[in-house]
Amino acid sequence: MTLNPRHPLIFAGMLVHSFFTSAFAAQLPLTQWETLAPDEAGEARRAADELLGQIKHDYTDQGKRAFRDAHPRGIGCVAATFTVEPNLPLKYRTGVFAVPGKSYDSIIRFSAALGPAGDQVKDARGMAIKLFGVPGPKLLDDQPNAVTQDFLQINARTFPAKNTHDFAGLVRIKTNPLNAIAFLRESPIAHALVLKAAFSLSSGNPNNGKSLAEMQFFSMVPYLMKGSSINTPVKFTSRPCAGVAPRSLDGSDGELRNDLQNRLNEGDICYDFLYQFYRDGAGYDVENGMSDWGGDPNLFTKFATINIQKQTFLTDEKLHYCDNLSMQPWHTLAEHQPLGNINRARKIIYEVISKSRHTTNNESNRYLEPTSSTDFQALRNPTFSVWDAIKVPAGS
Amino acid sequence: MKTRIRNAAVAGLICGSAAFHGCKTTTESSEKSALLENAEIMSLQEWTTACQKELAHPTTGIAAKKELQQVADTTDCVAAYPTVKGILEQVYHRT
Repeated sequence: MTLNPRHPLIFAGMLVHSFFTSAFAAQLPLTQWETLAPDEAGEARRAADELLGQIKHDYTDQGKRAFRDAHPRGIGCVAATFTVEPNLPLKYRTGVFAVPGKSYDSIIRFSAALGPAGDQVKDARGMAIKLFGVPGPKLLDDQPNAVTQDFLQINARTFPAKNTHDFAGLVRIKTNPLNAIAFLRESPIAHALVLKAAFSLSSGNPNNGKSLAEMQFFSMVPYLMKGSSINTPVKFTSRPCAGVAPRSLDGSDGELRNDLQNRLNEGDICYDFLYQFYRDGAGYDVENGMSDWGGDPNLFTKFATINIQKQTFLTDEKLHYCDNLSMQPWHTLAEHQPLGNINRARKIIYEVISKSRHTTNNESNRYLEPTSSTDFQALRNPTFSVWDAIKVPAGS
Repeated sequence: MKTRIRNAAVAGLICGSAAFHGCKTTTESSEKSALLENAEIMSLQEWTTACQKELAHPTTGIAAKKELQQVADTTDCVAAYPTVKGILEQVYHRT
């Protein structure tokens, strides 16, 4: 008998998906802050296989549409603008921030990490930003000419696993909760901490019950900021602009969607996009996904403003479009290179799962990384029924 | 002392999973339930022995002590056990 219950453990939020080849370590030289862990690529590939098995079990074997392994529930996608600070200091003007005041067309996907039954279920939430009109080579192997730059975030400051090995353990627990026994025995204290973090990220997330417009989202793991005057690990965050009015959610399956749509019926929603810089001697560890750099607002520097303009996003067409998007931290310029073994694993995992998902859904021949939000914004059919009824995994 | 963390949260787990699977495959769910119901995660004795061994490790013991503090607000393995047990129960129940 195959024991393959889907486990609520939410580490999920993070992972995001996709796996692939062996090129990961070979492709980019490690930065001075990185260290390759033993067999980390192998761990990532095995985790990807495990996740593919889960997707097969949950969807493919039942003839259903395949959703992401992590962040399967798209709460919604919205069109937005991402505008670089007009007075950004010279030393920070690199990558997508090279031109002060430049505004990028973008799409933001809000999601639930495990997202099973609905918005009212306690879970980690994601905010993935895709900028368009970003020239220059990208680090994703099969989309070097994409004109997009992705920023992936969750509403927690850290990842719930130190490294790929621990993440792979969480994946195994997700497949079969009984694997928690071996996981805990392997490293009782460290893995108890991982399990605690995973729970704190999902069911224990202090943002549960709060509007997306009131939540702060974080990159969790570090990235590089490299330019002529700067070369340092950073973490980024999207923080609600001042003055966001708190509102009670309606308690329904679609409480986050409804709240977001209600707010966008009335006006715009705004976030500040900020960076936090690596500090020597502060105990920051680029290779440790659980390394908390602290939440002191004074540690962050504003780089851009995200404005989500008044719009209708809650339609079948837009949710379908949104589900087909591929959000991937390696959709990036080298100036913003993802760092650390969790990010290196994400490259492998996301890529494998994204390809599998699009193939399974018979959309692999149609999916191309978009070049603007024009097609998304052109979707005008207001019908919202099919996707309102979809529970993830489908059919639940 | 033979306190054990038992995965008695079968209903919670399976029906938690039901949110994903719909609890429709009753035969499969029953089989899973039986297995999970009988699963013994880790006894107090096993936890304490393993925990103390980690704390005593000459090179990683200090880091382990900090982590135990983060897990349970204590550096005492026996005192930490109820917290670890609670974490596991939360994981299974997803409360």
